[in-house]
Amino acid sequence: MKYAYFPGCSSDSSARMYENSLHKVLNMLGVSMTEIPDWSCCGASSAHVLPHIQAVGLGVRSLVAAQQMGMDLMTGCAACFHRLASSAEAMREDPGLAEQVNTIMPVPYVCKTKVLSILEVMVRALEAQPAAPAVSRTLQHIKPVCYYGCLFMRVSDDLEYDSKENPTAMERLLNAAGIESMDWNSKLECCGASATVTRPELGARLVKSIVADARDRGANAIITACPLCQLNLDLSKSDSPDDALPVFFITQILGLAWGLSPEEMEVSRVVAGNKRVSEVLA
Amino acid sequence: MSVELPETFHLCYQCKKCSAGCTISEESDLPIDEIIGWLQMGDIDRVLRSEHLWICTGCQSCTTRCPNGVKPGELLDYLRVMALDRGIKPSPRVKTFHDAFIKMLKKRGRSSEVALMSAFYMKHMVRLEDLKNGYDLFMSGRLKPLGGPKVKDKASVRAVFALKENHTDEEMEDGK
Repeated sequence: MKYAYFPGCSSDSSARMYENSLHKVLNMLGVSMTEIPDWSCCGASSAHVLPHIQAVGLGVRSLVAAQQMGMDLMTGCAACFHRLASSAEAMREDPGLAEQVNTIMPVPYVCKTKVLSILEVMVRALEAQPAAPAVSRTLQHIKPVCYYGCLFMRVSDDLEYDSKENPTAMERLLNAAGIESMDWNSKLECCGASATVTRPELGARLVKSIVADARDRGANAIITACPLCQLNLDLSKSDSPDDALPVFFITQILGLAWGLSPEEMEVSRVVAGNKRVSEVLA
Repeated sequence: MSVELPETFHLCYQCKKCSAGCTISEESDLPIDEIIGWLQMGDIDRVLRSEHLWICTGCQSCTTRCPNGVKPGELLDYLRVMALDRGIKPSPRVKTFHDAFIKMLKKRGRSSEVALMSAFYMKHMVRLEDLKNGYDLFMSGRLKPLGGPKVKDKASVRAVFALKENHTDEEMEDGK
């Protein structure tokens, strides 16, 4: 399977351990990716204060680049996924808008390029493989909850690979790595996105309730696939920093279980519960 | 630029599923189902003055759960642009954040967390915990210094920001 890869703006900074681990893990799953040349920001939170046509145009700029590569687009970031999928949907549904947006594109976007999230790509890759990669490290002590956040699941059409209201893609992937995760209520709750900056008290309320739910379930780690969810939960200041829950990207944990080293998976880059990382991942 | 609201709000039959799942139901001064209701009644001024527009986290739970394709989350995007157009300003932190983000996008074509936060804290007081967060990220090697990657073809990004919605001929003339 080959995809045009959209890294997103956090891939070289706050989510660099996600970027590095996802390349290695997707390679193990037989997925090949080529970075979209000269991709641009999807607009993120601020796309929601831009005129609709400009918000769509930002996404289409990168969609056209993927179209020229002849591959479907894949991204690891939930916000990028949502912006790009929404742009593609707007182009499909509104021919008048599409015509105008296409006037500034090097070639018209013909609405054939699909936008896929990393979760869908990994689930499909696992299904297509004769066998999952061998579990070569048993993570005995991790008791994780899977945190999806909002935007991977917030698309108009049904998702073929998962339920939008009670997703299990991450649980299934972790199962294939020999890890059982715990059920909980907050898998789809919002981390607040940019509210952590614009409305700190709202951001804190949202993040605290997510972390508290994980803790009440007896989890000792949170696993996510969204860079902003990871960042917001990771920087939430726990009342008792010594037992704060580490927040890992799913690719870091899969990579570890499938034999990659903690150094390669850059597990020490998590902030919350950093001192407990080695104990949780033993 | 004039903004035309999508007509989807007429499809609402007030089931209130949107508000039931709304992330900011505790903070909202005008829940999303009421926003749609007032739009149906034609009271757009009341809607544009609502803080809900600027507290919304954009989680899109309302749009995903709406049984009748109203797309409330997308309506809010239009309403925010409409409010800005009419000179209704969001709270200072919200305004600084989006202004800085969009300015950065226009200039670089990509976002840089350091550039964004530097621009933001030029205008707002840095709290102790913000400093602590910056320090933690720096120590874990997750801060990219200023001047990270930029888009090469900047003209194509500028072209996106020059796009204007073309409803009717006369509306194009007030181009702002």
